[in-house]
Amino acid sequence: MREFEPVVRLAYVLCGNWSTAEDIAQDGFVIAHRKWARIADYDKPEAWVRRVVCDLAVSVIRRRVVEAKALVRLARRQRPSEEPLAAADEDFWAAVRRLPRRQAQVVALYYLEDLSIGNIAGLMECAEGTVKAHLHKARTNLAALLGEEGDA
Amino acid sequence: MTVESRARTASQAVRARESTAPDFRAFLRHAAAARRRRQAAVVSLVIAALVGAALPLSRVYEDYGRIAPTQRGKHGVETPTPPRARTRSQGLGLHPGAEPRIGIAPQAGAASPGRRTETQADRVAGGGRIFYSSNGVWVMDADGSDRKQLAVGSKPDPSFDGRRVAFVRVNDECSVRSSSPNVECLEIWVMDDDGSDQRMVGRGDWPAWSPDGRRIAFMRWGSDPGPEDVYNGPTGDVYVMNADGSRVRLLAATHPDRSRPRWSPDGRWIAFASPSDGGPGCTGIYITEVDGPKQEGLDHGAGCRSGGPSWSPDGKQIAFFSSRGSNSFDMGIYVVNRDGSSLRRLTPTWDGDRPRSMLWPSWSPDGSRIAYTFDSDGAFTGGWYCRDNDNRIQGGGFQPDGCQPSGPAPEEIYVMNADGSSPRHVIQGRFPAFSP
Repeated sequence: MREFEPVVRLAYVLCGNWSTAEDIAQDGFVIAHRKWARIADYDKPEAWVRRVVCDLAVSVIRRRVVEAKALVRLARRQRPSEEPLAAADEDFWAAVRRLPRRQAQVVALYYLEDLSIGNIAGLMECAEGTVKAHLHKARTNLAALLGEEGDA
Repeated sequence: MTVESRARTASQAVRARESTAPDFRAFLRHAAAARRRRQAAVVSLVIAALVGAALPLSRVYEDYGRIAPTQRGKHGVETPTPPRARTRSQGLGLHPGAEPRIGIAPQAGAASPGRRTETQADRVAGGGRIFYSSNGVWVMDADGSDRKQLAVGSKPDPSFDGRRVAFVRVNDECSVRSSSPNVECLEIWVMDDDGSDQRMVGRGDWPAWSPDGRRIAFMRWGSDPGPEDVYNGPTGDVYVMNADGSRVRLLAATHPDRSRPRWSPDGRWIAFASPSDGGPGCTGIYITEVDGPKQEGLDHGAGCRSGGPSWSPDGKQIAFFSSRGSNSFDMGIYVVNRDGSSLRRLTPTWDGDRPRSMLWPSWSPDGSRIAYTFDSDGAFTGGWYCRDNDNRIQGGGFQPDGCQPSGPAPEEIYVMNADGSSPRHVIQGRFPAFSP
């Protein structure tokens, strides 16, 4: 339960809309619940949910579906409206969402979730070197997009 | 302001947000109640069945056992799976692959670090030492006794006579300076087998002694180990140098994640892993002549993700790890003849939904045993594991009470007979390398 809010935040930075993010996170947990018999034995089911949510949040087609559902719910006024982040922070995450999807996922997991390179590699099922490369390229791309000083 | 600081600030801003999710919480409460009701119903059913008759119940279980489980392959296709192998889970020789759950495999030998003495009598008989990695380079007797740390580093490889050890160490200064992948910060060191006389001899990864102890094969990562397409994986090359670091010579392209080059006992060949034509990300076992032009792929017919070759002491066979077909969740130890014939799998197959890997085989000098690393999905998927108050590893659950996450699940070293029988848990660690 306490895992829900961090997962919503993860979905938000990758999709850019709080309502959609909550629906994506909810979908992720519902999928987890349906497969509970299979994933309950995982050492950390949260990691599994994060991977699902990462994929949901960057998949355009799936995102459109949950956005549509979120719109219906908003129309029924079941949720309060959300205040946006500060402009600088909003710009940063908007830039992240313009990155290639793997780079965006790595940035979200590394900075927002504060996961180690090794844990991200495990979660994304790739080599640590690959994660580092994605992170490096993401920083370079972000520096260009934001007009900031990069780390390269 | 740097990208780094922007990222930290923006992350903090998002973390400060509170989200409301009444619908989801209600859903979970209902779901939990429904699950409890189902469990209660099952318990009632079982009690009724027990009271009713023992014989019909046994039939129920027999029938249940015949239902073929299914697995979801990499591409989401449901396929029937063969019956689970049972023959290896006999007595105390319980193979980790025969365990029903990955997360508790180390309990099979009741050999968590705090309980090691209880399993002393169950250990593998036979001599030899094993060098291995576990937050440093360690050595122990093959039965797990008399272990001691030799150096800071990883991936030890003892010389054929067991008197010198090559290993890898990360240059911390370089690692701190480098903002890009730090594989260029890996250094190859050599030392005596008691940890003395440590010397850096070159830059690279996965050193391997030649049989005469005069040369070292090793691997270097490509300058860009992370291509856009993660499925193709990183790149690297196998090199050979003199044991003092001189005369570095390029030998072949390799796949650095699965490589561990190994010298044949006759000193003529080096086995290593390299991308194969089996598909994206696929690797095969290759052997290349050290001082000649010949290079051969072992068309072994195992899975797409082969790596970690280890020669048998007579040089006639090669043990390696591979996935079973395209099932990357099932990485096991295989043995194949030097000419590619007689492929056989030594460890049981696995059809679970989580990755289970048995990696990095190493043949004992007398050829009777093979050490390997057992890697449950904790380390593989970035999940964590918990230990309960008795220091036993627990699976599943969203941080259950009394069980706090304690980092990535450990990798464990096992030793089995060379025919795959009698696997025994030896110690927590990885990259075992047998030595006289």
